[in-house]
Amino acid sequence: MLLALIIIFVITILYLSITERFRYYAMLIAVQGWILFFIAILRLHSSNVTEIIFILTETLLVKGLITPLLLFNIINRTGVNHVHKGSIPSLNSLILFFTGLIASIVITYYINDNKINTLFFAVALYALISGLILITTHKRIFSHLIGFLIIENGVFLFSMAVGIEMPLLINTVVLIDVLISVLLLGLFLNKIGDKLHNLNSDELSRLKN
Amino acid sequence: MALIIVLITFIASVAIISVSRRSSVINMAMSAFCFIQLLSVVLLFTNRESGSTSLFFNIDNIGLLFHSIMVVVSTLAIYQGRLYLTGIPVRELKIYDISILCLCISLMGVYYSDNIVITWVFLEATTLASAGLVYHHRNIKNLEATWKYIFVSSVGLTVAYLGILLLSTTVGNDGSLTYSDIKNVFVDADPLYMKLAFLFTLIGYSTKMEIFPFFAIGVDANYSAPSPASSLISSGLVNGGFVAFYRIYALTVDSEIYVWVKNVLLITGLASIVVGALYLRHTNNIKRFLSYSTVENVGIVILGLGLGGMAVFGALLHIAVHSIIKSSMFLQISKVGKLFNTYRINRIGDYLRVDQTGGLLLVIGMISLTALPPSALFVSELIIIKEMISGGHWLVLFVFIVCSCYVIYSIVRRILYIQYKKDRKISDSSVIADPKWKVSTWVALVIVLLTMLLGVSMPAVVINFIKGMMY
Repeated sequence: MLLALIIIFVITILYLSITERFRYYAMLIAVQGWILFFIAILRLHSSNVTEIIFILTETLLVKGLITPLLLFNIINRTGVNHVHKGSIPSLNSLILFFTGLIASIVITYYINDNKINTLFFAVALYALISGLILITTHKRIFSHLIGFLIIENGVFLFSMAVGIEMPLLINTVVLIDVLISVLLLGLFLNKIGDKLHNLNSDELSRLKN
Repeated sequence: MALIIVLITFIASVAIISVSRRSSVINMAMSAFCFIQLLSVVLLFTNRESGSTSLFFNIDNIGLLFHSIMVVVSTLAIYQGRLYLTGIPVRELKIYDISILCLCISLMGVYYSDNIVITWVFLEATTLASAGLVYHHRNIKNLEATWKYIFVSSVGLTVAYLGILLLSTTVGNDGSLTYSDIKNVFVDADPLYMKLAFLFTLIGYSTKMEIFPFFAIGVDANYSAPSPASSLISSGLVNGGFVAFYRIYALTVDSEIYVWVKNVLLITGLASIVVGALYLRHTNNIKRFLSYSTVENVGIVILGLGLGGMAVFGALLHIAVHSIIKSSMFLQISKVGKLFNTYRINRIGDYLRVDQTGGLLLVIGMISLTALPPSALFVSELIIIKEMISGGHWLVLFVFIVCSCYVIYSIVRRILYIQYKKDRKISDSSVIADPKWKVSTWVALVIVLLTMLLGVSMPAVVINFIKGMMY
């Protein structure tokens, strides 16, 4: 079951590399949130109610609901629903993302350590690499936000890979911090959309020496 | 206890400012916060017990020093903000004040935090607090700077969080995530993980320290924020990033990766010095100019950490003194900007004749920043250079000297241009006669002169205090 979820997670990232509509981006982020929820539930060691509530909030509510809603809101408000025409072609993008996947597997194979869960480590690393690829190869800043969210999901998987269970208080403040920064990014993306209309990063070049 | 009082005052001040519609009430709330902050520092200094720890916080020398600097700078930034932002709607003043308050409280958390994740949380909070300051003027440039700042900081800090997760594998689920607990088991940790963790945190925290590779967003933030707020960003926030990083650096001392860590820091420090020096010459905006000077100076600090030994003492002295001088310069530059209604260097001139006290402050600031004697930065750089020579780092020394000469030339040329270039149009001469602006200038001047006194004769108490910060 766990393996199936991990494979679906990887497929969502690969699908992100070829799709060109932002609506699909938002949907895939929502799907990733749900996958992370099921993974977290499967990995739960105890039946502690507060822990379950926290996982529910972090994955389903924040990653699976609030964040996608925010993304749809940005798409509707700015009217931009397509990657930039000058963006990297789908096939090239797929090859790049696939290379990232192979690189993640190779690195994990070499690190191969009993302290970490190699399956989670490989996928977390892949999410990190994919997020960075998305940020660097795409021209529209909406894609950059998606890249950041994928990296965030990668960090979530990474915490599972290293098997660290932080105190609930710390987990909660980390979640609040991340949530506020995502909301703030969404807010400013909307503001940029109001002023620039096409969300191209090329137009964000007014700050010069 | 003192920290709790500050926290309560913070909450009360934010609440009052949020509901109030009168600027006099807002001013009172801000004054109360400043007073309590100053009082808290005095209380912490006088009543501190060595290594006193409570919940996630620890009152130590490094926290106390940078907290004190932040309190002085934020008080001046709040005071001068009133003068700089005269005539703006109350709503904008409220956003400015609340952002400053949030930034102060987040920085206080960073300085005193004894838990590696809590430090990260407060550092992330500084990003959100700074956003309100960077976006203050609400034009398209501010929007661009704010977006870049939040986005790059968030990505950087997420990468740093990966490093923290790796570091936390050393203690596992049984130990706490305090620095001392991690330090105890660090020597037995897997070197590969620790190297990765160190790299991730260095990259992530570079967004706050304004060093290579993510130095640019800090420069943009300083440029975009109102100048009094820039003084806090370029000192308090940079120090916050440094404290967070320094505590991780301290974990590596005595471990087998320490030599590798020092090499990485030498490269990062040198890269920061080089880019800082190059951009310093290139820019025509006085705020960006000062920001690139910060990149160069924090590069020197990182270089000091990379050299190790007594250079760490030099690095700690350098970052503390630099932040005091730089904040004073930013405060003065806000007056210059108000006077000429621009920050473009080629449109500013004849300043020494127009405002003699302010001009004098810029000259003394110039001497201090360029680390010419009797600047305290001269002492810190001398200690770092001595360590370079004794360690046989001749290539590092060569690059450092070349860049320093280039920086001295750039700073002296620009400041003298501002002082003596004739026929420049003054926009608002009332700034010169205004006694409130005069107070601000004199206070900044006294502060810079005090740092110079440190360069002439450093009291034993200061030396011991800084030595207490070394690990």
